[in-house]
Amino acid sequence: MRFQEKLRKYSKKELWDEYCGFLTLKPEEFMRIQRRLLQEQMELWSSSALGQSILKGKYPRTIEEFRQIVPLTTYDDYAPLLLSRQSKSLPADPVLWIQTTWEGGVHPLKVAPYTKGMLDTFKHNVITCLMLATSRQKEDFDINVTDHMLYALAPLPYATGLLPLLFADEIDIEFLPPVKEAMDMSFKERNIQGFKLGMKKGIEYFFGLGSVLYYVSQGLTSMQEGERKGLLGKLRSVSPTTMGRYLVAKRKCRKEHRPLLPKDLFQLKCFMCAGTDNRCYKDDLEKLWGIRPMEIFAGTEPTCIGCETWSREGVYFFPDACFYEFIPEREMEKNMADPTYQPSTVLWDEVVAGGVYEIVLTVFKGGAFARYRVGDVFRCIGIGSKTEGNEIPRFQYIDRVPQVIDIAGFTRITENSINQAIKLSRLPIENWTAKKEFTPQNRPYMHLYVEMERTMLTTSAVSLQVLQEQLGVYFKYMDQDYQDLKKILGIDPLKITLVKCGTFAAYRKKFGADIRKMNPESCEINDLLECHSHEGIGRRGQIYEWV
Amino acid sequence: MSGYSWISVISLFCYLFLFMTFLAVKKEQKVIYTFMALLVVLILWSGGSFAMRTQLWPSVNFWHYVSVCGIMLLPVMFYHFTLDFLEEKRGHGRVIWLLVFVGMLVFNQFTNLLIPTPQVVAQNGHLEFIYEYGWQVYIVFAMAILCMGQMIFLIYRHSKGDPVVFHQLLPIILGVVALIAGHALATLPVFLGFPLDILSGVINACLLFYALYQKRLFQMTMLISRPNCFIMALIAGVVISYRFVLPLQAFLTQKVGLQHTHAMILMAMALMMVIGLLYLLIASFFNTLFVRSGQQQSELMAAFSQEITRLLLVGDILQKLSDVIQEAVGSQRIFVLIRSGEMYKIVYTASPLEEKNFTFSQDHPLVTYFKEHTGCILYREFARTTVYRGMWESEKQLFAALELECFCPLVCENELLGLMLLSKKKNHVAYHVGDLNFLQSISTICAIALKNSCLYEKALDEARRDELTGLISRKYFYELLDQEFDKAGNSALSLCVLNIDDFKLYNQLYGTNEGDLALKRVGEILAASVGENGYASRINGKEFALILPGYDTYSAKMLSENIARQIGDINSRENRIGSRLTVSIGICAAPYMASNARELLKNADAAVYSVKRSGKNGILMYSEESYGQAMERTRHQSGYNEHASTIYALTAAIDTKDHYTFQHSQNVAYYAVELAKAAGLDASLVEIAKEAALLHDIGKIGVREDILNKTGSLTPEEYEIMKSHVDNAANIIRYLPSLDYVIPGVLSHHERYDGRGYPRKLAGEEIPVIGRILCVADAFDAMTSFRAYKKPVPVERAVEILKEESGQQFDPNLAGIFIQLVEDGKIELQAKTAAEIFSNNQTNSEGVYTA
Repeated sequence: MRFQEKLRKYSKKELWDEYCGFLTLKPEEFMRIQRRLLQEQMELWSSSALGQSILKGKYPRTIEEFRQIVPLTTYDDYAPLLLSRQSKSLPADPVLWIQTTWEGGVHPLKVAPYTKGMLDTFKHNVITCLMLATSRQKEDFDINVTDHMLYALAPLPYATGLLPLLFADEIDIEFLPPVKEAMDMSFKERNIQGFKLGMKKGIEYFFGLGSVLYYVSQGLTSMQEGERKGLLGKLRSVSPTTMGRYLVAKRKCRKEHRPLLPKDLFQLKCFMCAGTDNRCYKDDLEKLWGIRPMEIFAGTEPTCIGCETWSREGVYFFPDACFYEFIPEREMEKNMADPTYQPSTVLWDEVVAGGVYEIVLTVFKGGAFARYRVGDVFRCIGIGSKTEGNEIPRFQYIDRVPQVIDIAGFTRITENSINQAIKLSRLPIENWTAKKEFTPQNRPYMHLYVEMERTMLTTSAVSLQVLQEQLGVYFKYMDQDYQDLKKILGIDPLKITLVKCGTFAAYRKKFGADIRKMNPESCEINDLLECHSHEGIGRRGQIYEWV
Repeated sequence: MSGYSWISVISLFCYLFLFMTFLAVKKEQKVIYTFMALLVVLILWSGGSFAMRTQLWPSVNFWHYVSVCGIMLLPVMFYHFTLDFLEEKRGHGRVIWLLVFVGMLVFNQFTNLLIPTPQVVAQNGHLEFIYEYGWQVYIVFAMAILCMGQMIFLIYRHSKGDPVVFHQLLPIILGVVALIAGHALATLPVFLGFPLDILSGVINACLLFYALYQKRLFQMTMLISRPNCFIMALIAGVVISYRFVLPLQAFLTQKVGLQHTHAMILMAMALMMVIGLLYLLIASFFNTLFVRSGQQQSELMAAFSQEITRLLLVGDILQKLSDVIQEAVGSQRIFVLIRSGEMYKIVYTASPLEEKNFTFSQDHPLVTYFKEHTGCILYREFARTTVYRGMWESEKQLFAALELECFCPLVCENELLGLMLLSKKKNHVAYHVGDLNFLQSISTICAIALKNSCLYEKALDEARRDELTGLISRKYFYELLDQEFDKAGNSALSLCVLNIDDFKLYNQLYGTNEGDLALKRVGEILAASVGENGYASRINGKEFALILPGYDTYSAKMLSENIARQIGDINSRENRIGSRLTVSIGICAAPYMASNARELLKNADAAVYSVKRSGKNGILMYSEESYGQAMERTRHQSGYNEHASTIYALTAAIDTKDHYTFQHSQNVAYYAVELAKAAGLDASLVEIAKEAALLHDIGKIGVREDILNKTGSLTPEEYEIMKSHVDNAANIIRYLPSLDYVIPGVLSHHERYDGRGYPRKLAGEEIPVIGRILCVADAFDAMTSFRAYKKPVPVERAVEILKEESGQQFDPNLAGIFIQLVEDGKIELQAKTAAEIFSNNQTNSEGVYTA
């Protein structure tokens, strides 16, 4: 039965119990589902060629054995079989393959198989997200078949493109613009067309990456400003209700001496955002739309694994999407210092409030990935909530793991990709370190601290502008998403600071080790800058050679 | 009665009918009480109105006030009903509205201003009741509308955006509308005298009744009891006759010419017939509409309850249950799982061809659900629960393949005994609430019976099963053998008797716990090998039997070989030292070699005996020849004498390698016998001590000569090789079947009392007594004898050493006795000089050689 039919047949309470009942599970009940589904997955995965390529002839029988025998994996472990799409080697037959970019990988793309069971669970959990996003309190949600969704995410074969199909399977809400038409449009065209239709029909749901939502919302505001001239012409295509709402809103804004905002025109029931850096945009988005976005957590490999509730007090994980393990912060650090170290993990019911963890996932229902380091870091912000009346842990998404710099959910830059960009640009860079930082407006960017080769300073053009442009060009060349970041969001995500020659060596001398290449701690950056500003540094002989 | 009084009568009967019905309803929810209170108010209103219009005693005014009382309390009771229906816990002004309306009622009682007493006017021979309302009546209306408004607001709030709740509440909203409209229209001149208000009350009551029914707060069948059908028939009869009685009377007396009395009798008879006919029609109508399936189910359930008490076996009960469900509900496929240990296993399927290879574990979502919920559930509803999220994809596929639609728990005393899985119905109609109620009831009845029968079967099974191995017990084995023999007729029936070899030795070596474990393992192997194709039984301590219907000799032999191989595999897994677990198997098959069950068993026994006599660890099919041989062998003397020459030959062989061993064995035998006698051991043990002593170093035959005769100290490696002579001895003696009883003694003669000996590091009383005796005797002779690597120790010094090592190397008790024997001169020193030894050995060797 489709969700749409259920809406007519069952009461809100009954539907809430069905889709959101997991929120009030006791921890042991939650773990019972987790363990049971892992048992199934363990058997499927261990007996598949893919599983055996990692297990090398071993067969775990219990969950404890599974955690002991199966090493923590990354996409490299699966690449040989998955990239060649060898369906027969998988734990279960895939229904479709979803792809995403593989930054820093040996191949430009990563692909992940989706089985029927995974898609069913995904669908169920997506409806849960929709219900929770429209809810204002327990058992009170607001979903109507006649609602419209403005959807600012990439189409298939990306995982985000799957969502409209899953929604369409369950409910006839209208996507603006319709999914089939949107597939042939550019990102900008989609947004313009979506808003035009939204003005006509109304927008009840809005879903996208936090950064994109913000960009699109800004675009709408500017679009309204630009429409002043041809207002009458535009209003012709607008419904009388929207026209009335528009006029009232304009009057109100005039009175309040402020520009027209999306919230004046649309009363969103549901505002969902995904991706990284959402916290940088949430406040602004709330001001623009009058409703705080609800964060959901989804990915290409794990599907949709959690979302916030009406309280917006943290992400709750779904019990049936993946088996969750968490690498505690201390273990992460040990592993960063020594990549050969196998960090230990804790289970979902073993996390402690306040703890920071890297998540490790085993995808259920015949999924390909086991004990997979998806590369995301969460903080457990509490166990049990009075607002939601439960006893289970909730999490806050922090960021990608320090080895990856993710800018606004668009691009993921690794040490490899920076090295490649430097290599391609042939810039005489001796040393560098990169850190994700935020502007005073709370927007993310990558800050590259660069030390040039002393010997090349006199023979190469190495001004800041040259560095910025050259590196930018090669980042764009290597990474389509980086290009999109600039093209779509208008963000220049790269800031370069030149440090004196010898700064990195001085740091090494002073602290006994090189500074970390990716995302060193702020205090380490300060130490580096202190070395940079030290007068003795950089002198070799009598002159500052690079001045 | 005026022309419109019948409306009051109908409404009054209608309310009374509902009230009577709800008296019998289970009042689990408060709303049922509120509804009954509302009915009382409506009865006051309609009853008062009817009594007033018919001018019953005591007065029109009295009945008017009764009626007004009903009208005034109607909004407030309706308000209460709505709040209870919505399950509102907060007051929402219940008390205030009650005070307002009671206040108005009292005010009206004294002032007659709000709803005045009607004027009774006679018009055309009929009485008309004319109400002359003042403006004050609008106060009542205003209050009622306010009260209803709040009610509608609450309903709106509850159903906001929830079409399902709105659908539930719609009858109440319509009831409110009907009441307000009825009362408003009644004040219009066009409806003057017509009791539109009362009619709206009836409509309202019916709507509320429907709302309660829709919420499943009572069953429709409650309405259609016989008294209720009769009341309905009576009302309908009275209404019909009221309209036709006068014209009919006129017709009979005037047109037909009957006398008044005859006409009255005829009319009374006609009325009775009409009522009777109506009763039959109503009863038949309801029966067709609601009762038939329910009635049939009730009858089946009653019959089932009775029959089930007479059934003892689980299978019979489940068969009966399945029959009843198929008849009453029409489920196509039925599966019953019963708890067995930690699993729920399939014990019954309606069709024998169904899938039976699935079990549910304790953490199965359906089991988890039924541990918390006792009612039956449809699959589509179960799929909406949170526990369902733990279902495996394979389980979902299985449920889909089995076309399951409904699940019922079998719960008795809060224990989930089992589950019943039902597929779709034969007529492809969905399961309805009536079906679920029926299934729930029948499952409960069945669960109680099942629990008892499970206990009975368990007790029966325990009585028929061997406690240790779980195989069939000896007593039941004989019963089964007779049964199967009779059943087999002229077709094949094989019997295999299996006897574990050297099991006593196994027990002595490894202890009875290990022995029990070995028996269990053998039991498991037999049970798994035979499966459903026969019966495995433990008929004696170490003796098992297999009854194999349909097996000829060849098949039985193949099976036996397989079993023997599996039993042999136990050894390799356990890595036992000293004794291996082997089995001797005798097979006899009917009708080829036996004409009755007793003969079959006797022949199989004879075959086993024959294997035992032929060196054990073998399989033999019974034949007359083998029986003859077995009988012949029984005439042999068992024990040492049987193998004396072999032992002598072996010892002599050692002598060629180690010149001291032959004499040493003789000496040790002498000391051991003396010690055993002095320690009070019985004659048989003394004999065992002697034989064990003669054989205790026989394993040295496997030790290299250079080590045996080495004059210096042994290296650790050489010492290890030397120590192996103990195991070697046990392995050699094993091949002398009648001497296996000496193995424990031989195997333990190098164990130390303090547990530091070898090969098994036994300590204290764990060491067999023969081993402890040999230890003392062996050491004493070793000390006092000449060896290649040492000179003899004087007896006094040897005694001192025995004393020193008492409690460490030697059993203190036995060492004490031995010392006493030496000191008392009851033991003669047997050790000889080197020259004597060599000359003796020469003679013995020659003797052997010449023999």
